[in-house]
Amino acid sequence: MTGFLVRRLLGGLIVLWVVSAITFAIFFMAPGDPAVAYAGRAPSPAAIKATEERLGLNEPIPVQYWRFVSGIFVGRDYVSGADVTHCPAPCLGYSFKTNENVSELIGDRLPVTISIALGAAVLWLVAGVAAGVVSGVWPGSVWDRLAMVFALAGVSLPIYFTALLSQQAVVYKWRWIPAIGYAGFRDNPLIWGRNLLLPWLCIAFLYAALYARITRASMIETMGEDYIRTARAKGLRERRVVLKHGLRAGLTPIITLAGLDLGGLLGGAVIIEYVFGLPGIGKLAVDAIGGQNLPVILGVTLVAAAFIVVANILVDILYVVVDPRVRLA
Amino acid sequence: MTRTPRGLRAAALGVVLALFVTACSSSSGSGPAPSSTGPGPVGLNLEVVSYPSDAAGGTLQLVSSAPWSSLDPARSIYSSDWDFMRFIFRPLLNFEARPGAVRLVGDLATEPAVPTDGGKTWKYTLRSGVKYQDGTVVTSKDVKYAIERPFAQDVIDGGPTYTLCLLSPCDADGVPAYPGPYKDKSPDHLGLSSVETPDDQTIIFHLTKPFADWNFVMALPGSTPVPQSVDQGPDGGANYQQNPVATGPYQISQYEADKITKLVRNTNWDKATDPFRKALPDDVVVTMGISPNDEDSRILTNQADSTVEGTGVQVSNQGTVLTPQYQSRRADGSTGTLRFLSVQQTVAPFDNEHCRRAVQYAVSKSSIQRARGGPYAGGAIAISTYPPTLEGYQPPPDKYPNGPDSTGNLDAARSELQQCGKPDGFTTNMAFANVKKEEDVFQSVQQALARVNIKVNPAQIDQDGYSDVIGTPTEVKKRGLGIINTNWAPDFPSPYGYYHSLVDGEAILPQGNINTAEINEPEINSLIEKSLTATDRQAYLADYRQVDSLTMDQAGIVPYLHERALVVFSSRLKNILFLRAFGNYDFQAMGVNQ
Repeated sequence: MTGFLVRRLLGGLIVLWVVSAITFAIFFMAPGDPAVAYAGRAPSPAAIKATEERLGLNEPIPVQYWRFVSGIFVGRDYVSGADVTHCPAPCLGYSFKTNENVSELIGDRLPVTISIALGAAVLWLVAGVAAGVVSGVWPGSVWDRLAMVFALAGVSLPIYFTALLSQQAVVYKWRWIPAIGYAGFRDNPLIWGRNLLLPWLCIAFLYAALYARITRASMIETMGEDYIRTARAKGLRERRVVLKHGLRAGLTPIITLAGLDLGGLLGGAVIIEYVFGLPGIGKLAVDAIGGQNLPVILGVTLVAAAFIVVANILVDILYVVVDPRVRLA
Repeated sequence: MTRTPRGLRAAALGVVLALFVTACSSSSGSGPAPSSTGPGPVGLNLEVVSYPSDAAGGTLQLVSSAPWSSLDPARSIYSSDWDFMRFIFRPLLNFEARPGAVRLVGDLATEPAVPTDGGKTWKYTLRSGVKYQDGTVVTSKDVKYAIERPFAQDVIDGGPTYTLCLLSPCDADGVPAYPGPYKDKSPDHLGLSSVETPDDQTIIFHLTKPFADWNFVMALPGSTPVPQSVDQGPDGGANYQQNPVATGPYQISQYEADKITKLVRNTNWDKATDPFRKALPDDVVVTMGISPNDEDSRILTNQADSTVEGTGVQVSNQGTVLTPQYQSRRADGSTGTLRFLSVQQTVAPFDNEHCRRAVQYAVSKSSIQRARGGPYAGGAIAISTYPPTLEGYQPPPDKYPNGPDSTGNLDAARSELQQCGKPDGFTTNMAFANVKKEEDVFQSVQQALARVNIKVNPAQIDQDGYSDVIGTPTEVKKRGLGIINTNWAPDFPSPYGYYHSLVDGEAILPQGNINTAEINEPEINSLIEKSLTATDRQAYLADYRQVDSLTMDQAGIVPYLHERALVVFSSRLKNILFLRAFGNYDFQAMGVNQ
């Protein structure tokens, strides 16, 4: 097990290194002078010069890349004459124009994205798996047909469609809830929940549909196995048969998918955050891309990649725990 | 794979349709088509204050789709930010809170200065009894310190830099001799010798050269006093923008960049010392980072009172806003922005002025107007560069009559093509940003010029890198950008502020260039130079009308719109006052019905 973990972690680190190198390279292939981009709109010559000095933009590119990478582990000092700014680890640099600490920016926005992703994940897993189990155990029933209609709608409707539509309907037409912004969980959990309800439902609608269909297919396959018949013959209660023997086996593809989906969502539910005005890292990325704010783009890309890498590793471990037939490679 | 029975498919369709119908029933359809003949007020009359009221109380709800450029008064660059800052900051001078012609009044100072010494010495007297939010009294030294801050361009950057070379000698690279208050060796960090503070209520500026518009520069937020004790500490310098100190009727109670800004009353603001502020609401909340469509929805449903940007409702909501229901809540003010095509004489064949004139005659200005939203949401067709809302405007002669319906004068265009030696037309590239409206403008220009065999190829450039590319003359020439779609609004509403960056040959910069057409006419340059020492305001204004005329003769600028923005307000908003200086509405004047 330790050997497996070490290998996977090493692999993950290599992936992140490649991602950072490529994104960093784009920095310098983009047109224009980075110093000008950092300094703000129509910068004065004095500002450009000061910026170049402070950020070390005249040093050779490999040196700049090394400073960037080492900054992530030990922090970095920006020197401007006698003035020294220390950027504590993990240092991802400073944003163009506004000069905000990228790590702080991301750290500030991450709780929003985590709230969105986790809340939606709980909803879609519970709803999707439950619906899938019921559909799988009684295929062809009225319930099954209804569930699959909703699943079809959820999978076919693009998320920007459901998000915009539900917002217009629920917030502005029927006025069931006031305009959606973001309130911290610690400030007021009820308002936090109320604001996130619609985003959760929109995401869950899409993903639950997927999970319902997959669970259903998986259940139908598993429930047809011989050992299920044996369990029933032994006189076990139906609920135990379905859940302990049927679902347990059918859970493996769901776990894999859930891990990857959650990892991806933690990188930012971009459309949801944009439509509902929620300040998460997805929206941060969109704004940064629009503003060509490369340090922020680089930071968010690395963080998102890190989440996916970690999710992959965790999923592999969980896989082994749930299904003893699988050996760690 | 199980087959999906017909009933199931019908049910699925039903679900989708049900959702559709719910949403669509909310729109009330498009309103009456706005008349294309001349833009009279489409809603509120902006020459007066609408819904005047003195009733205090309530919370003003503003929305913004973008973050502040900065809340540090010396680092902010958006005019909408400066408009908002009237809540919290009191610079030396400010714009009077009244509609119509722009008028400077003394804000922290008693009145605008009258220059002496040929326009080089400017003396202001501060009002007494003005305090910061913590009760400390403001002195002239605080203003001097505030003026010194932008000299530290490595820390306090991003804002206007007019003061730098006017208060300290600059080298060939434009770097001023004075290093800023953080590197200042003098004991009280007040080493900028060109600024004198003989006593606590007096401040005198000795400029390096005459500058007739210095009062306008002192109306920028940068002259707001900044307490040294805060700025020299851990919360100052580059961090000052997180929590700047207020001198106005409100102070910041909560600020999270791009999320929310909350203002509460500043109990140390004394109304008796203030020339125009009423401070009606109890608090102000600016919800930020909202998508533009969401902003409109909130205002239309009265969950917000106004946007901060003032750039107008989304195209998809224009139809709704133009229905009779919103007549009393909408307005289209002139933003003060000129939208134009820049025709580069550095890119052949536009080195020949007749080829430039061909473009002047051949474009269809009414088609471009439609592309940008029509007369209410796009703007009024422009026949010269002088903005109608700028002081000194007089209806100019039409040098390039664009045809009876402003669709273009093809005969004149062809005649100009003959004269520049291109009777069969030519090919060129046009730069525009990758935004829908700009693409539409490109299409319009391409089609219009094709009528006289001028083939226009698209050079689409990313929106946010746009000004960097077109502001670099070497890049423009390298890419062969013969025509550039662009716009310009000055930092302050004076003819010098408007024309200097736009057409002065002295203002052509290697980067961040505004004079895109690279106009460098000796007569224009000398008129602008001369205006800096002007003592007679009427002669000054007449000179700039002449600059406008000469600019049109040079033909490098093809003006097409004096921009307007169609905006909508909540039904509870009071004191809606349009400030020409910002092309936006005076936020500090607003009140709310409870």
